[in-house]
Amino acid sequence: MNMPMAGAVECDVKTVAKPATPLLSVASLSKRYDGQDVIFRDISFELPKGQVVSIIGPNGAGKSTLLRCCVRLVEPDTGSVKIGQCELTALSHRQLVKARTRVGFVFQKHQLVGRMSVLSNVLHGALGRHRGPRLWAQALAPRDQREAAYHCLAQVGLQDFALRRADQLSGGQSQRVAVARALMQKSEMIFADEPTASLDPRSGNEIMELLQRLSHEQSLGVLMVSHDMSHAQSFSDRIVGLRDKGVKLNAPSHACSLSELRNFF
Amino acid sequence: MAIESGAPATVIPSRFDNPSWLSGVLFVLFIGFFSWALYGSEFSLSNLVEGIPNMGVIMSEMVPPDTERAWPIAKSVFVTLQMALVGAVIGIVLSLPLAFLAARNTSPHPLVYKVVRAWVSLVRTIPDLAWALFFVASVGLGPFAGVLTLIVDTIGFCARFFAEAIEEADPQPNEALKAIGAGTVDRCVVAILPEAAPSIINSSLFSLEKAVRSSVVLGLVGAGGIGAELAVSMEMFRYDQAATIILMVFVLVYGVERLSGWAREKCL
Ligand SMILES: Nc1ncnc2c1ncn2[C@@H]1O[C@H](COP(=O)(O)OP(=O)(O)OP(=O)(O)O)[C@@H](O)[C@H]1O
Ligand SMILES: [Mg+2]
Repeated sequence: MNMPMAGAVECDVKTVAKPATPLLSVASLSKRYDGQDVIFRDISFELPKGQVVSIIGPNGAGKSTLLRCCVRLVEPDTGSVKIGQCELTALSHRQLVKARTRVGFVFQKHQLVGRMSVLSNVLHGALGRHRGPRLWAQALAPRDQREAAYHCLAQVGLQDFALRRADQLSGGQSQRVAVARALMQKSEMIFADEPTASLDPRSGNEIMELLQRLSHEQSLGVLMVSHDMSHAQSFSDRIVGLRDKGVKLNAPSHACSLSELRNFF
Repeated sequence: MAIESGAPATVIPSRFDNPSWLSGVLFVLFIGFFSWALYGSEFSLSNLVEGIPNMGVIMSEMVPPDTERAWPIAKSVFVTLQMALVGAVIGIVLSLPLAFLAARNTSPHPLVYKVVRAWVSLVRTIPDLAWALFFVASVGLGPFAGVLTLIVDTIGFCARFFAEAIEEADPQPNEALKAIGAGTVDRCVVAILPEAAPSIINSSLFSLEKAVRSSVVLGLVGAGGIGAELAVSMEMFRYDQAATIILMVFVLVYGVERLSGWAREKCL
């Protein structure tokens, strides 16, 4: 892939200042579900600190599966997943639970507890770090945690919805709450599976801007799956394309034109 | 043209399949078994007809209901309610953790799942009067034996329905919290319990109603409550007292059912 220099200005600084160990490195990962054909094989890519990496690919290419494999919600068959220096595939169940706290996860939908308040849902982001009844609901929470949750909610602009029931939110608002919960986790990276699917263009852009801002301001790594090529192109630093069971594209976003991305499918 | 030359559908399928010889045999067998059962259960129309005057006498002696012992009876009805309440509430509370062990999606191990399920079905299949006799024999006569019976009875009922509610809960909020490393207990409480809550509340209210109804008969075997009074009145031919008891039991059961119906509407 050729590397056009125009339009690459703002990303270049970061590419150069890439830290030695990436937050996440995936190497030679393969997965097949029982009784099915191989979903993907020999996948390798990295998620550097402070960058947004987008995974694109046609329906059923295995993007969601790949994301789940990265925290072993789905067990990969072979290959390695490293979070920092820590080899995930070698961990015991207990160590794995601990390692997962380093990754925030935003799913496509239906991920909030509908019968609880928005603030409680955000608070649950801290359940990775702390255990116990005080984090079950906002009414029981210690003051500092409650304030932290409120602050995270304010970051996504939903502080006025704190005590609303989560099932009364619109799709876009729920998505933002899910992002706030990931923030509450104080993780080093956020994985987001189609965070903007089913959102209108404006809310979609807002989520993307938020993720990008967070990654740049707080040096978070963001790994997201997207079907929106213009999002992938304009909000991420690197694009990984998944097709025909393998990585067929792995390039800085400024090196990929929109039409190239669309032709990828 | 194949359609035009085709013969019109003269053979309409018959309404019923021809009965097979097997269903004939089964039908004859059933008739035979049923007649045998009538004989075994000493079913007799003549006895029923002879009994009708007695029924009339008992009914007529029931009015007017006796008011002399109304106060002790009311107290006893109240004890029945207390037994039902304590038994049902403790049973419900104990059912919750059992249900999480007995639900496929939250059980820590398939073996635990199987063992708890099997135990709960065993508890459920043993009738409550058998439990009552067992507890009367082990802790003595009185309401406490009844409470223990109701606890066991409630567990047999609730643990199963709670487990089903838990299995039906939307897995996605749970997975989202699992992905960020939340602990099992926390996830059960925070992501699964709220999803299953309406169903759990419904079963709980139903089991409370059930406990009130069964606590009435527990007294018959000495496990406390109003049942004992009823047995004594009937045996002493004090049908007017029995009528008072039956009326009060009716008020109790009806009252609890209305109350739980109201609670159901409020909560769900
Ligand atoms: N739990 C599962 N068990 C068996 N097969 C599965 C499971 N989850 C996904 N698959 C299969 O794996 C393949 C990849 O699915 P996956 O959800 O990862 O695709 P995707 O790239 O995320 O697609 P989309 O763009 O539609 O979200 C599909 O063929 C799917 O049927
Ligand atoms: Mg997907």
